[in-house]
Amino acid sequence: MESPQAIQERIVREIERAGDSFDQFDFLLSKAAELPEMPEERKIADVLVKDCQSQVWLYLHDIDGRPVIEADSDTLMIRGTIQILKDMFDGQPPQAVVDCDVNYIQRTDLAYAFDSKRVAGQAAIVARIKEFAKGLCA
Amino acid sequence: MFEVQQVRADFPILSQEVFGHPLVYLDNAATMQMPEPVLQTVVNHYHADNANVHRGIHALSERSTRALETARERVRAFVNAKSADEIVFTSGTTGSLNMLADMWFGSGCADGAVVTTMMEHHANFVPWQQACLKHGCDFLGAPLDEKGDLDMGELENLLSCHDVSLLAVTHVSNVLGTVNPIGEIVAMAHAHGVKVAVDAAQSIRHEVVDVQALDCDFLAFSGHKMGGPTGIGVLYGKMAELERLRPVRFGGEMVGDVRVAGTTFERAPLRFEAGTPNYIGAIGLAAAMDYLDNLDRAEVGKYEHELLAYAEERLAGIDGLSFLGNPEKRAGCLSFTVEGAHPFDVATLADKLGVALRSGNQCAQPLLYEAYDAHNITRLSPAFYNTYDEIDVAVNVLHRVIARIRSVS
Repeated sequence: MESPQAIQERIVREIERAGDSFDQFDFLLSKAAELPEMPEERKIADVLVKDCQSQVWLYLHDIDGRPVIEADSDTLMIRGTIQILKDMFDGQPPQAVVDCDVNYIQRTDLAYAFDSKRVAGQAAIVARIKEFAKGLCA
Repeated sequence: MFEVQQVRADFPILSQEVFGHPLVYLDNAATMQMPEPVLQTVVNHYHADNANVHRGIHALSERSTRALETARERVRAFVNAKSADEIVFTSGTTGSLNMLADMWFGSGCADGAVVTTMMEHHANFVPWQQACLKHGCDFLGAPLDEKGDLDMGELENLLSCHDVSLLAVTHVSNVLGTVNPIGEIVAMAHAHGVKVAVDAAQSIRHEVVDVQALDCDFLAFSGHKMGGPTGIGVLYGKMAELERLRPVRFGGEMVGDVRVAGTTFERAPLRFEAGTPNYIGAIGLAAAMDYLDNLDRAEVGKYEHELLAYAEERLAGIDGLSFLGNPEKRAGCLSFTVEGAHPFDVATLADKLGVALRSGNQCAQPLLYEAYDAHNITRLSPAFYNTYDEIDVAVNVLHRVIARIRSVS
């Protein structure tokens, strides 16, 4: 199984290969299209991620001690980033999730659309996932 | 005859590409670009005359002080105040309104409620709300009608049925573009013994703002919304009103005698300008006013009005697009939602094709959340240097972006 870091490197290459800035965001839209839609009844306030400008509903559970992300957002861009996190972290050894430095946004043109508040929102999602993974490590 | 291409030559920032596409800058309600003469004025002052103002006994300080006070007179003339002493330099509209709210309650002026409207920018809403909370006064929001105009009947009810000390109202909405009949509103408020503070951040460039004709008691605006620098703004107050207010910011230059037993303060406006004022900003603001006045403002106004109407007509052709509001008179901006496309996605993708729009709540949550039940919108706000071709480009980009978003939604 590819490590989260290796998957991230592949994603960075795919984003860069996508073309110009518009195409790089278009890649994010394609990722958004892969993300299963969350049923409306599961989009409750209790699971909203704080510090996100967009609404992000996040559930975390595990299968055989490995994390699985179930999440959705009201914006396609953020749905795309969630799918990327799923690609990187779903089913991974928890310690590999904890150790992974998530930085594909800063390393690509996607950074142009993620101002400090949105970067903080992404960091909040990643922090929740890592915290959950850390719990699985114990 | 207004020649847009001639004017564009004064704004070199517009002649660039972003992400490989010619820039189409349609975020002017947030910040208008600075024309070359304003930039040159600012640079020239730093090159030749820069020194701290007031009380410096040397040539450069004298020149800086004179330039600041000349700028104050320039602002007076631009808004037709009676005296330059009625012009207080601040950091911007937000700074002006926060200071005014603090002073209003700190000077014993406020013995009643504050009324504002549901179309205010947070800068003319939250300071009054928080001051009312602190001082135990009622804070009320006048509703809008279904078109996005102020409900004048409801406003009069609020002014007459409550013990109101001040009405805080915007001249032009930064979301709907609604142009409020400020003269009529001021007359109504005064008939009920209520003072009026006008947020002119969005109107100062589009409308001729004459404080004597409007008869408003206070008026606030920013330099960067009218081609001036950021970090400079104005609080106008009738002298009789300014004389009632106690300063709330203290420091150098605003005092007379300072002793352990007490302090006396300078006359207005200096008493409200503690510390080193943003004199370079004020000088740049005056240059922006010169620039605007050197254009034929009637022709500019006509061009902007027609350009906005054209943008509205073109945008209306986008399937599923709904405008927020349809006011009697609109200036400066169009806000809209698009079925099946989040504003953040729309503005982000449009940016990558060179079109600068704004998405979000536009610092007007009461309007969006309570009056329209819309949490985010996209806003297009042209200025007089934008062209019809640019509107066409923006609309074509929106068609492309929205189609792509819908294809994956």
